[in-house]
Amino acid sequence: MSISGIKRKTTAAESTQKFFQTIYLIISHLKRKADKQKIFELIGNKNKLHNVLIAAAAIHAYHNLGIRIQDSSNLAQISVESTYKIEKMEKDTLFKEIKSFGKDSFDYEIKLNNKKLNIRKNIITYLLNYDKLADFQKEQEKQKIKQEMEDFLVLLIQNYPEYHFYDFLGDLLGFTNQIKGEIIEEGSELKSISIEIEKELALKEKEDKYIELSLISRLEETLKKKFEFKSFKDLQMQTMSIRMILRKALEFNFDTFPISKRGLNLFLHANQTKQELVSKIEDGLQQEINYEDFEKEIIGFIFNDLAQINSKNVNDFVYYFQSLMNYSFSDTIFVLNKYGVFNLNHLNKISLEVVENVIETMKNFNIDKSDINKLRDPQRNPIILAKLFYNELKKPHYQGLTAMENVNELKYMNLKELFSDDKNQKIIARICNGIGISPKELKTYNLKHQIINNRIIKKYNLQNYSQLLKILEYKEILLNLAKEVYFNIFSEINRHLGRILEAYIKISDDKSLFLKGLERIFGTTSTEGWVSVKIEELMIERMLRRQTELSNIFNAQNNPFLVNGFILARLTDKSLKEGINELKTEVSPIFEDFASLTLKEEYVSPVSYIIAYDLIQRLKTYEQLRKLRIEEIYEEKKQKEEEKKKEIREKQEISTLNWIERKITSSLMRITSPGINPNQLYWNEKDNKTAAENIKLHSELKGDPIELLTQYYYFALQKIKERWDPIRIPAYEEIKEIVIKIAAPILQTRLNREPTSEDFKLMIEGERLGIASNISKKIGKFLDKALYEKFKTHRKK
Amino acid sequence: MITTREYIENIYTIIFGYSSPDRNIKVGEVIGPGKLTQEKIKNLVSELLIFQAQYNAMLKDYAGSEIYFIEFELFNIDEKDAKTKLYPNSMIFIPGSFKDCETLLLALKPEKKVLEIHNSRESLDKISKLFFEVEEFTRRPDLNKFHKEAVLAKFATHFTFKLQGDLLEGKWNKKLVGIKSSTPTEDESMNVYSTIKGDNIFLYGESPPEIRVENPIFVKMPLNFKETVINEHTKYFISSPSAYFITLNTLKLGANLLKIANTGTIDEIQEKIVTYLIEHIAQKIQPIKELKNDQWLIDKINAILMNCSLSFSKYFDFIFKFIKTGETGNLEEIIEKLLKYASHKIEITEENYKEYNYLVEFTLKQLLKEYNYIHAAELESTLNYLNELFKKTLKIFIIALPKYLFGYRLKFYLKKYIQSLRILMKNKPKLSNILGNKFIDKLDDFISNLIEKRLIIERINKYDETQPIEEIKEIINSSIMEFFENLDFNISDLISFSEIMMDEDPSRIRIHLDKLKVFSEEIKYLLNFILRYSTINRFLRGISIDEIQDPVTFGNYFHRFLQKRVGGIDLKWSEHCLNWIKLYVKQYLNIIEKKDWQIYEIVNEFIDFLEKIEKQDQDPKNFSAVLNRYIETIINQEEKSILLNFSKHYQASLEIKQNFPKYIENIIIEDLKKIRFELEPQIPIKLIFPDDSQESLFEFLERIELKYFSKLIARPMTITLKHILDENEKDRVKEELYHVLDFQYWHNNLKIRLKNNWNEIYKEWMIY
Repeated sequence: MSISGIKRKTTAAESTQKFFQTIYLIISHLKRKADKQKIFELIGNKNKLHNVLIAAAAIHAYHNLGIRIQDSSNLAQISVESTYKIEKMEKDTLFKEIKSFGKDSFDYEIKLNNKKLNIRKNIITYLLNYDKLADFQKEQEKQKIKQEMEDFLVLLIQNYPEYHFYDFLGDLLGFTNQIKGEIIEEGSELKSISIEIEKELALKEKEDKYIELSLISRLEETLKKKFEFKSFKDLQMQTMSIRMILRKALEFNFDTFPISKRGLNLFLHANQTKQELVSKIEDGLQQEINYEDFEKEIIGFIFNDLAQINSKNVNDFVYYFQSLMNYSFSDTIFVLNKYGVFNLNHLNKISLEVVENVIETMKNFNIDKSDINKLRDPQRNPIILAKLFYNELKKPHYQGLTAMENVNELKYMNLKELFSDDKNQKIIARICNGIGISPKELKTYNLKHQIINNRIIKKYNLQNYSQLLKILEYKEILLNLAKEVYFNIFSEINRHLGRILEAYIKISDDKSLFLKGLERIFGTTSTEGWVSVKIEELMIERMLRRQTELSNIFNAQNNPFLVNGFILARLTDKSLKEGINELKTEVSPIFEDFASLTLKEEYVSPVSYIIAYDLIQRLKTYEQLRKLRIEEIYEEKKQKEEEKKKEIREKQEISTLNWIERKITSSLMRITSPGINPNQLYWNEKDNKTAAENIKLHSELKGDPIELLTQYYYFALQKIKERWDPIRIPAYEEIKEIVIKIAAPILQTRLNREPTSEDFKLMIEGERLGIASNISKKIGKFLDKALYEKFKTHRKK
Repeated sequence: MITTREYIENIYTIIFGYSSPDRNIKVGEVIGPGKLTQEKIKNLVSELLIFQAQYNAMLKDYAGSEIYFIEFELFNIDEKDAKTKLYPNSMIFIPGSFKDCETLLLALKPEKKVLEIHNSRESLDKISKLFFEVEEFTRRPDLNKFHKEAVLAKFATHFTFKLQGDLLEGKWNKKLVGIKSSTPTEDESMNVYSTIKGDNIFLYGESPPEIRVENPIFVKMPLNFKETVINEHTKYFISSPSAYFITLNTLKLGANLLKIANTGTIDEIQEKIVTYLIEHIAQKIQPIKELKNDQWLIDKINAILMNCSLSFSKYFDFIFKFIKTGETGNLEEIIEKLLKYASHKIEITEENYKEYNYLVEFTLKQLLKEYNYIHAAELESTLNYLNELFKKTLKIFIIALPKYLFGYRLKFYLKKYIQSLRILMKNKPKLSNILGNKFIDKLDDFISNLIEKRLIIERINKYDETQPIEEIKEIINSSIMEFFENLDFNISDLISFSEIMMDEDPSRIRIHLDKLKVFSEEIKYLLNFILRYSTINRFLRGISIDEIQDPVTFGNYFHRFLQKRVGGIDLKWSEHCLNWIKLYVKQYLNIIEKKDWQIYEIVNEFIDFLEKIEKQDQDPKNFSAVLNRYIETIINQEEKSILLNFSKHYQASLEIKQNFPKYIENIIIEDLKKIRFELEPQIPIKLIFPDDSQESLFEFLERIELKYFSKLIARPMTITLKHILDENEKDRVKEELYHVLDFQYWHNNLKIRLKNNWNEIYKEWMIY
């Protein structure tokens, strides 16, 4: 049962479409300085453009997605320095892996883009010349375009990987954006959480999370259904389907463009710019570049282009931008809003020259943005505040003005006039005082106000201060829009890279599900064999879907080890090379009980139930070993902790017995010193407290508390006897009985019954202290007795 | 402790089998209450696949179809037992295939009629497809047959668990709530075109018991379709005699399948314990040569078992200490250490410890197959299991022994009685003696069956040796009337009697007598032969309907068609059956009234005619005419005259048939009054290993106590068959053609409804 939920609002969906798609996530690493640093660390400052993009993907995979090619449990005891080296090595390996999958795709995508742009150019030109052409010429031109499309489609089928064919058709027929929109909208439905692993394994993957992969499979499905072909290769023979595609593509493209000639010209211009951009990117792909310089150059080129269009008309600008970005009007407005343009008129007919002049004027008169902001805000504008205050002063009930002050009988407030007459010094001072500003400052503001009005707004025919502010931000806005265009062009050659990255994400997500499944398998009893198999089957089904997907996007219909080696590598945190190698050289779990045989490439296909089964068994073993290793590490740690604890305990033990030993030895030794006052050596309240605390601490050491208390008591008495042998002390067992006798009533108070031996083991802190205090007193009595006897005996001598 | 859920899961028995395209490799798995060795599993699966192949071959011939799905009801003949114990209620048999890879599933489950058959079948087909992939995968030169088999076996085990999961989770169950999906075999898509009624006869002597259907009555149901549709239907329908034949074979198949499943319920460890105990008992009582009564044997065996219990308990206490030794190693090593430990610890005086060692070794190897590394402590639960099983088996022995002796004595006294009857007959005239012995044979079978029923149903808690004496008299007395009521002699019996009565030497006409004796069997076979799919339907599919205008043209064409086919079979009465067709044609030769015949009318009338005439010919009274016609054809005068004489004797035997049963009944009753059954002490060993072909104690225990499903009878509920359409036909029909045989049972009666989805799949333009 599907759970219905609230759908995202369109704008939110749009923003998701733009900013959370994998290709944009890759590109976003080129926007941040710190990330760029990581990219250059990986590939150096000078490299080909596709390496920069692949490195961005590798950085994303490593840092943002947590893809690893080393089992973390192996790294448990490695130094920081080595960790850094391993990180570098892992990123390097990831870079190479991704490159192996995606290197050629950039060239293909550039070619697709060139072709798309050329077809667009021809269609726009055809539409522009439509009125001038005779009917037969119209037909001829139309046929030319159709032929161009058909020739390229045939070329695609023969020489390109399958997915590029679908990419191209998706764009040509306008399905790409439509399907993406559908995926995002469907994906915005509420997701259920906390579902059983069986159900979770059976569920279809969240399509919006892997939008490029979902897009390509939906595109394939839609195209096959709509144009009635079974497989990509079948199209070589099926002219019917190709004809249907061409007819639909022409219809769609003729309908997409504006009707007006002005609009068409702008679209043509944008198309030309795009062609130039693609050509520059193509250069970047072919020769080594300094990325920073490359980016600067292209963004500069776009910036100038945008500025030139905008200097003529803001509506043209919007149209042009829309065409350049292949955006809808609302998308375009969304981007402009993002960069602070809420009123299009503010940008109307603004040229870079005007912007430069305004900035120059402001610089000359020391006017900055904050001055404009202050002057445009009635609450903060000092001139307005001064006028208001003056008007208040003038009111009769106020009686604020003296006759002297009112001498000029100012009818209205004119600051220029006010400042021009020295007589007004007092009133100026009064006003400035009232609004909290110095007269000099007020005068400066007044001057700046006049300059802005007269030398900027009126001169350049600006509407208001807001427009002036936009002019100040104009270059920044244009720069941001240029960057948008730049990165948008990247996104069009980055699709396959996005798909590869999504393959990494998808299998990592699968892995987390598989691990949950394995937990369930490991937890089943021998009578529930079917439960384990059921989970395995669900995992295999998922794995089969992944195999199909990967064999398509890796163009590996004849390479089972590449597809399955990749899956194995991701499931067991290995490099692709290691994954493939394991499949090729290690005994397959299918044979392991009876023969030492490996899988053979020629007997399996990439999409294979058997390999899926094999992979699950390998993952099972891997996970069991990993768990064992973790247990070992945990055991080692535990052992170390135990050893540490033991050390502490021994130290504590020594320390708890230290004091009493010292006390007894020193007291019994000193008692025979000449002139000693025995009273000072007798057991006092302080000794009692110290001993009690030590006894309590001793009782908290590992073991039975009663035994520990007895041990302490016995130790003390033994020490007394060592120094004064005549004293008679009880045996260990007797002492134990005494301790129990002390302890029993104390515990009984709490328990309301006779305590058992188990209760003694669980005595609480207060009880320990009570018992310790009693024992302490008893030790004290023994010591006092020994001291007294020794003292007496010594005196007799 | 076992929970109810686990117990119910335990009842499920699943046997899955796979046979490779070249049929060289057969692998499978059995999941059920028992624990079987791999070798036994392999044999069971192999047997199952053979049954499937044989059954399919029969279906192809008789119905032009193959098995799609069969569901059997598991009827428990012990009602009391059924109320107190959990038993499976149904048994399903589903084959699957992809290209030449064939799979099959036999499952016993607690509920019946809940499966959506097409789902289950699809799952099996899907698994066959996966096996095809495995086959391709294993087609590599470095993989020998043994390895290939091991790979296939691994996947077979995997898929068996998958199927078990599907069944337990009710994945194939019909949807009871929500939108019901329509399937081609649902009632609304099917039309009943024929019914068969018959009597059920229970055969209790088989294990598990079997059922036989006799006295079939065929009824045709009118089809409310357009005439063209019905005409086309005649090409694809299954005739009632063929359906009856399929039913008989399905009953046999059900019994065989259940037998396999029942073997699957044996716990081989328990079987080993039983074997050991029997051998031990035999060893102890072998030296005693004095005659002893049953009670003595019971006491003696109980005493032996008590000693076994004590010695095993002592042995067990010793070996159980092993689990605390902390020993480790792989399974082989740990067993070796354990046995070494046992031999050191146990005093050599303990006589049975070697056998106990063997039981322990067998149990550990059986239950701990997959352990590469094992700690002694891990043996605890397995050893406990063996201990409990040993105690349980001792209990089974003690309870089953009186029942065994009770059955033994009943059969023993029956044998005595039958012997006394035979002696009595020896003094009668030759004819009476021979005829009488025939009656006695039948009576022996009849009462033996009743004794078996009694043994399955009755509980014998307290055994008294006089009890079987009373019981046997009671059984014979109460069954004689029923026996004679149902007793009948067929043509073959009467020919045998007539042969005996002849004055001349019958060897001179031996060749003719042999031919006459097979008459009844052969015409029955020929009727089936004519009405099976590969004959009549094939004829109809091969001929243009326009060519058949009336019964005469039909008869002529069919006679010609059949003549060629029958000629190829070595049958003595084929000409007689070809004459049936001539007789059929003859009926319509003189009809003046012109009728516009539909092909289905012709075929229906033809079938009715054949069924009727065969029935007539099977009547011993009508055989005289057949015999006379036969004699007329004999050229050799001497033989002819002997045969004429024989014919007279046959005529006389018809009278005997009427009177003789009464005569023999009186003899039997009289003798029963006279016969004195007495207690007969035996040499003890002969009581547990009888030398008079009776079942031994071990066989009895294995049949009744060790096999869990011994009281169940597999009765088909639904047989679904898929018609084998050729490529041409497949293109012409909308979907597959299914035949369904639906069964209903009440008392000892049975009704079968024969239906198919012809009307659903038929298209007008199909006519060709």
